Amino acid sequence: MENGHISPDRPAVLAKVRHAIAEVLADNRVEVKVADHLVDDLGLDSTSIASLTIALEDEFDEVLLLNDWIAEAHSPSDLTVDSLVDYLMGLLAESD
Amino acid sequence: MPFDVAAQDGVLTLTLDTPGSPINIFNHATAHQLIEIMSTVTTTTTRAVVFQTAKPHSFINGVGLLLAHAAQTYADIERASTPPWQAYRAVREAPVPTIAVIQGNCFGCGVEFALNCDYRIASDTGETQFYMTELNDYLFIPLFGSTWNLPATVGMADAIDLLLWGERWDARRAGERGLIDAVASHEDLTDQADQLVAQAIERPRQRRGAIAWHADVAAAVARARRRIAELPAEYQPVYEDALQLLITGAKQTESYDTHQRRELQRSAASALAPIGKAAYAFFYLRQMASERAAGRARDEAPVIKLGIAAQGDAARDFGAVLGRRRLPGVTLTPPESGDFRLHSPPAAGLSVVTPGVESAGDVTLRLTVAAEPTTDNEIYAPAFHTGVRLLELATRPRDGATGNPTLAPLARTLQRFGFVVARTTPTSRFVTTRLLVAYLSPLLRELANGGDAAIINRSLRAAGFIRLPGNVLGGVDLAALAQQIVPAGPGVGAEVALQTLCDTAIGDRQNPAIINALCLSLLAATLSTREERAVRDPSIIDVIARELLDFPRHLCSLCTWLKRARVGVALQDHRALELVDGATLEMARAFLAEGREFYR
Repeated sequence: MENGHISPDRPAVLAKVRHAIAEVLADNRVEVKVADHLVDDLGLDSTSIASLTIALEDEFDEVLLLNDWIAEAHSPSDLTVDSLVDYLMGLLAESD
Repeated sequence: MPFDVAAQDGVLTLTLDTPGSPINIFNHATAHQLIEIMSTVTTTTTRAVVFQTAKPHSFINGVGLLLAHAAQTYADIERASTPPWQAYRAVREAPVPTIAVIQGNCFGCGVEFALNCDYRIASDTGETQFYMTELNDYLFIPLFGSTWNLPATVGMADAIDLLLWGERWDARRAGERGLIDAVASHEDLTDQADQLVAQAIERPRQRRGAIAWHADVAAAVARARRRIAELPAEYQPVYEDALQLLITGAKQTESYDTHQRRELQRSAASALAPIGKAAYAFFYLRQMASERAAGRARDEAPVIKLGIAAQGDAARDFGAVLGRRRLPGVTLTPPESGDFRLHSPPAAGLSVVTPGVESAGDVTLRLTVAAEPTTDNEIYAPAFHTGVRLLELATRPRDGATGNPTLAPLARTLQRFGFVVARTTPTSRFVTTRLLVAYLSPLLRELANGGDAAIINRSLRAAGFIRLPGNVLGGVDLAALAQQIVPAGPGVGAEVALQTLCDTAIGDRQNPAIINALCLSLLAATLSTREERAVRDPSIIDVIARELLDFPRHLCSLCTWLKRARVGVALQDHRALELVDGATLEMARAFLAEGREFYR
């Protein structure tokens, strides 16, 4: 993000998501893959999703909510890194 | 693995420690491990199973809102809830006695888990709280057997108080009401738990059956129905469903399996309803505000001494509240004379300071209405005496964006005492005062214009505000509050008008213009808070609005409600425009023109 506006550049968004997840997990050694499930593979839960939201806010310097991303899923297992990147790309594109 | 497993003399001890989380969550990994463990338990290998926590602040906080939130259909919820349900069932049907040793928060499905154990003992500390979150925070019906088990365990009236009305019970109260079998001091918990285990092995407990349907039970149900009828209309079906489940659970006229299926159906319906979806989205906002206040870490300073030097009844009352909520590792100095100050050095946690001797970490406590902070670090709680758990911690940043890091331990400790801490930056007004004034100003203008307080109260209730001004302002200094409102409100007579608002019963008719004006007024307060950078993100405003004003659950939160579309509707209501001032209108129009929501 530059000067308050974000270009929805997928690799850049993915990098920030990976960084935010690593921060929430407090472990930079974790290899976060695009296909990873946040709950089943990475062990996130509802409280750490809130932490992830804050970490993403700090990464993107934007006030974000992940509620709609979660609410659109059929199962916690549907919440993947890939789908999160898609969701954020959509949010960020809206503001451009 | 979530459970650490230890066996000694035939007693299997399962210690829950959810990996990577400050609290215990009964997620699928926990459920699968427990199912596997319980499948190996037989009377030849095991004499009893004990459940305890490795986390001092949390026994079980929940199954995880994701289960209900990430679901579109009944089948989704049934699939997601099956593993925890099977695990609970395995505990319930264990061939040997099961004992829950409870320390820390026991919320929602944590209560339901404990109810599936044969015996329960809890540590008498401030952090051991029993609270059914589902309806009270998120407008959905719990689904792991509480509507069957609670009436049999505590009786119908207490089951209603706990499940429908969200009473929070500490260990002593839980013991008095029969929710738990024994209460122990923190120091004696292990010894007394051992005694309870021995007792359980000697005399296994039989499940309790249906409760006798005496007149007092019928009266409790009738009282609940009257109270449900006073709720906002869209809340009533889910509360009535929950009450009906409690009734059938109490009578036990159908099998446990049949009841469980009915409970799951009703729970799924409530979780999938739009008001449920909106309500439990607030969970994340609450967690975010908590983390903004106290950081992510949940470790405590090695030595915590919380000193209180109190002056006046208010400060003494605050000290008394802290004194009643005993915390392991926290030494509380009894209130003395002098100013009330908390001191938070970085290494040693909190310690008492000599009144009048200030240092950089001192925190001043204000329990009366005020406009703005006068020192760098203040705790502001003007509604403390109404039972509001909110503390606004206004602290001036010392190192850029992160603020004063030495105050995070203070915020964490106050959270452990059961307070909701909202971290703000000192600006021209406390955020709490801003929202209180913004909430009341249009109501007082309506009264000044000849409006009826009964209609105002009905309008608020219809919009979803359960607590009305009479509740919100119950212990607030109205004269001091009126002084804050006068510049923004109707001028002379504000205190009398506030009293009228508090003293008037709820009416039959409502006026939508009042809620539209409230929308505009709260928007202006929120925008000024954002412009002055009084908060790091809107979740903090949302938590203050919920705790202070009882902002409606079905609207999720103040800042998610204040969308441009909603503001546009309010601006079309000419009657509402008469209830706000010109500056408020200007800000609302600028908000629409700017095209930026509070949250993306």
